[in-house]
Parts: sequence; C-alpha cells; structure tokens
Amino acid sequence: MPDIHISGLTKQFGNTKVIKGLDLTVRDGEFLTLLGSSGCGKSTLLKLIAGLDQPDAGAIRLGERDLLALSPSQRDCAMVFQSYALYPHMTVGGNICTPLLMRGLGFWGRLPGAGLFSANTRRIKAEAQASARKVAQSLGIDGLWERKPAQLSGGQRQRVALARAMVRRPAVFLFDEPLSNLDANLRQTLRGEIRQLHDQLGVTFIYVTHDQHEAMSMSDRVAVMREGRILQLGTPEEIYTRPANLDVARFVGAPRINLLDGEVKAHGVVWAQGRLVGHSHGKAGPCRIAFRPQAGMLEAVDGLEVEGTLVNVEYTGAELIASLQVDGIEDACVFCFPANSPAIRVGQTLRVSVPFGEIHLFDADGQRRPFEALPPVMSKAA
Amino acid sequence: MRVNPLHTALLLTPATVLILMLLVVPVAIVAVMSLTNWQFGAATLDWVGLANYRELLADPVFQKSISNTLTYLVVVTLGSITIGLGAALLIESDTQLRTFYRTAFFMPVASTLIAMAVVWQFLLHPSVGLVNQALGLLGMEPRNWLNDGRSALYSLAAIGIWQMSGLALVLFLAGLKSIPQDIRDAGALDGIEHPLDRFRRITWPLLGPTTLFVVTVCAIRSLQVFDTVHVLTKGGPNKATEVLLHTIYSEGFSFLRMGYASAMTVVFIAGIFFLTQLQHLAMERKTHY
Repeated sequence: MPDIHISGLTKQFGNTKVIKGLDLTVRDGEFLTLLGSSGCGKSTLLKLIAGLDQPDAGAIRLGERDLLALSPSQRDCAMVFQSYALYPHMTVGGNICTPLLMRGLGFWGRLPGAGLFSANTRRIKAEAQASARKVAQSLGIDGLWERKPAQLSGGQRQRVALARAMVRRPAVFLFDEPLSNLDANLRQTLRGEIRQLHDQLGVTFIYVTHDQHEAMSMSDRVAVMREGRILQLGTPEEIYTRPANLDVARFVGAPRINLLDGEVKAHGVVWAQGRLVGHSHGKAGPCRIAFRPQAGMLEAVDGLEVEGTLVNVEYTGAELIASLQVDGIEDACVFCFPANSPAIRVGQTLRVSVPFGEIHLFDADGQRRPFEALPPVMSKAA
Repeated sequence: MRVNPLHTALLLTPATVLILMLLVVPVAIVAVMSLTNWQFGAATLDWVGLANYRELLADPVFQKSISNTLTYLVVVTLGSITIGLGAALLIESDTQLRTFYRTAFFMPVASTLIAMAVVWQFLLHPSVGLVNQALGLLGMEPRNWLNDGRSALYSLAAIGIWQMSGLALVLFLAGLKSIPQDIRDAGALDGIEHPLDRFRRITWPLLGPTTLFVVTVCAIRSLQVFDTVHVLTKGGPNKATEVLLHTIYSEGFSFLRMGYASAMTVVFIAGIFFLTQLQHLAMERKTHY
C-alpha cells in the first residue's frame, strides 16, 4: 500500500481557518500521531482524510489515487471515534457485521427478508458473521455478541469499535482520541493493545490525541499541530530532545519546559543568568534559554545555575516536583528531583545546577537555533 | 441530613392538593355520575348501577362514534407522521430557509382550530370552494366534501393532518438533531451511504423514542377531535362524522343526559390511559438503547 500524500490542504468553517495549507506525508505502515491541544485542527484533518468533510483547497492522495474524488466508504479507511459511535440499536454482532454486509450485499440484498429468496445473500451473510466472529474472538469480545452497546463498559465498547474497524481489513486506520473517555488504567492497557494491533496488522495508523503520553509512547512519528499547521514532524525522541520551536518544546514534556531569558552577543557567545553558557551561530540579540525540569540537579555541577525561593513541593512517590521562584522571571522554574533527595522545604532558598548540555536555545520569535554547549569543566577549582 | 417527615409532607402538599382537586376528584365524580341517571340541571338523581354502560354497548350511535374515532385516529396519526417526518428530513437536509419552513409548518398547531375550521369550510365549499375549483381545473368532478357521507370523515381527517403534521415535524426535527454526528460518520465509513440505507439503518431506529412520542401525542390529540366536527358537520351527515367527544357533548349538553355522557367519558379516559400505558411499555422495551 502506498504512502498518503497531503498537500496544500485548507479548510475553513465560516471565517475561521482551521487547516492552513497543510502538507504531510504519511508513510505506508507507520503509526503517525497528530498531537495538539483542542482546536488545533487535528480532528478536522482526520475527518478530511476519512472523507467525512471536504477541504476548500489542496489534495489528498493515496499513491496515485485521488482520495478526494472518493466517498468515505471507498477510501478504504476505518475510523474509531472518541464516542465509540456504535449503532445503539444493534447488537455487538450486528455492529461488527455492518461494514461487511454493506460492502458485500447489493441494494436488493440489503432489504429485510432478502435472505429468504437468495441463497447468495444467505451465503454472504454467513461469511460476514464468520469473519466478524473471528475478529471479535481476537479482541476477546465474542462473549458479548448478543449484547447491546448500552450494556457494555467503556473499554468493551471501544473494543467493539476496534473490531468494527478491523473487520473490513482497511488500508488505513484512523483514531480520533479513542481513549479519552476511559479511566487511566484502562487507557494504559488499551494503549498497549492498539500498538500491538498496529504491529500485527502492519497497516498505516493515523492517531489523533491531545495526550502527549499517548503520542510519545505509541507512535513511530508524531506531528505536533497548532492553529491548523504542523509545527514539527518527527520521531517521539526528536520531538522531545530537539523541539523545533518553543511551542513544541512547551507542549511536549511534563512538567512543562522551563524558560529563561538570555542573550546572544557578538561572535555568537550566549549569555544567561550572568554567565557564558555556550555558542550559537547567527545574528546576535535576545534569545530564550530552555531546559527540562528533569535536567536540574541539586548537587553543584558545572552548568547554568538557577537560584530562587522554593514556593511549592509536590511528592508523587517516584519524584519530588519543586517550583522555584527566581528573581526577574515571571513563571516559576519547575524541577523534578529523585524522591530520595535531601529534604527540601517550601520557603528555603535553593540553588539548582543545569548542565550546559541540557540547554535548548531558541530565537526571540521561538525558532530553535543551533547551540554549542560550553564543555563542562571537570572541577570548579581548575 | 435527616429529613423531618413533617417537612416532607408539607412540601408535598401543594402538588397533592392540586392533583386531587384538578384530576382525581373530577374523574371520581364523573365515575360516580356514570352510575346514575342524573339529568343536567335536575335536582334529583337515581342510582342505576351499570345500566348506562349496558346501554352504551347496545347503542348504535356510540358504536358508530367509536369506529369513526378510531378511523380518524389511524388516518390522522399515520398522515401526520408521514408528512411530518418527510418534511423534517427535507428541512434537515439543507440549511436554507430552515426557520421559515419550521414556522410555516408549525403555524396550524399554534392557531385556533375553531377559526381555522371556518377557513376550511370556505375551502371545501361545494361550489365556490378553492378545492373544488382546483379539481375543476384539472378536469375532475367536484364533490360535496363535508356533506357526503363517504368523504366527510376523511375531509375532517385531512384538516386534522394539516394541523397535526406541524407538531410532528417540530418533534421530528428535534429528534433528528439529537442523532450524534459521529454515528452518521461511522455509518458513512461503513458504507451506509445510500439515503434509503441511511434512513433504515440509522435515522429511523435512532428516531424510535421520538416516533413513539409523536404517535402517542397524535393519537391522544386525534381522540380529542371536537372543534372541527362541531363547527363543520355537527357529526353529520347521518352520523358519518360522529366522534367520541362530540357524542359525549351532544348527550351531555344537548340531550342533558349527564349520567350517560359520564359513562362515555369514563370509556374515553380509559382509552387514553390505555394508550399512554402502551407507550410506556413500548418505551421501556424497544426504543431505549
């Protein structure tokens, strides 16, 4: 199955542009996640790919085939919805069989009672039942066959929705925040199951979520979206370790990345917190220094030093999350320390070291810029 | 918090008093009256037991009236639902002029049927009526719609449909709105794309609760048909449009036989009660997913 090429895609509702000239290539068989906060256009993009909505401009191709010319059911996409979207009046079996019956039977065969007259219709119905059963068994829901969706739990409903999507053997699976309505434990379980399913089926998955944990843990590649554009497309590791701009850096990673003001001086020398931290090519001017909460260390190492008053300490079991109010900075700096760190109390003054190598450098307008960290000095005395 | 039983009783009092005064007591009085031979305005009454009900069973006018009412009920309910649902689907499929159509269709529901009956009298007038004029243009025989025993009841039913379909339409529009877009989308992806398939597999089943409600409301309102009959035909010609409420009215207020009219009322109330219970049962069984 070829790649999906999306180019120049634009969609607007009334005066609001939801998708703004978006380009994206989804590789065959990959697990791609569209990550963004609500209103960033990720669900709209998914609906455009599925054919549930028409774009104002642009193209969506599956290899050489123009998907925009096809109706939703011809596009060979299956979709799993946040609300599950099961047919409430049909049993689990009926729900799973529906796509097969709609595809297998002609107009007359779909009429009620057609099976009484045509052996062919009966055969198609029996085949649909059999393959639907098989899919239900593989997901462990064949025991629910005769139940109605209202009698199922959230996790069971989502499995039925998965089965209904799988039974058609589509070329592309589309997921629209499928786990958002489930509780945390179940979400974790189903996250693993969906990823395994992807590895078994080997077809393209496009997964929409606002949950960065889902995006990071499941995907081959993540597209971080904001205001109808893709900010960055890359592997979860790239997104986390080399965010292309401040928006991505601030969206991915929990707690949120810390920001300090810095300055690039002549000859690309980068200054922050009153000391030299590294070098950066390009024009001089104010810049933003960013580092992850996990980068801070309580023991003194050579690096950027952040000093401030401890305003909040949260104990999560695995770690301590400490908020530090630093003079001259509006937002408190947040750090994660191991839970067995020396006791720290709210109100005390704390000095935290951030190794130079952990620093991300951004322009004043938020674009990542090259940064060469100052090599660490082994001993402060030297 | 512990609730003082006295407070509970106090809070229940207004509703209880109202229900007793406006509902239970009047029905009880009617029920008691149906066992007497009280004449309207008479100072005395005799206890006659079930004599009124025995007379009902043998009364040809009452039988005619029941069968007319049921015919009217079936025709009007089916007609209103068909027209209301059809129009609702058409209006829902396009956003243009939606409010206008909704208002236009709903107008008959909001208007006074007595006044509208006069308009219909003109429309259906044998010689100058617009209906016959239009039929004449098409080369068809004019009819005396309201005075012909074969067509009178159906002419009244047509007026009933004209009035009721707006109500059905508004209720169906609300029902259509409540069908989740996700389910339609899932249907589109599953191949439920032909409009007939979409109607049969998604729209109609999901409209189940709405339909049941519309059927009940239409049925109960058709049972209550009175104003058009009273203004246009007075139950005639030759009892062809005699309906339950009109018969009760004639017996009670024209012939002043209150005991007998009360017996009919009891039967009437039982009918409505039966319909509501039927709706309740069906609601629980079939249409709640």
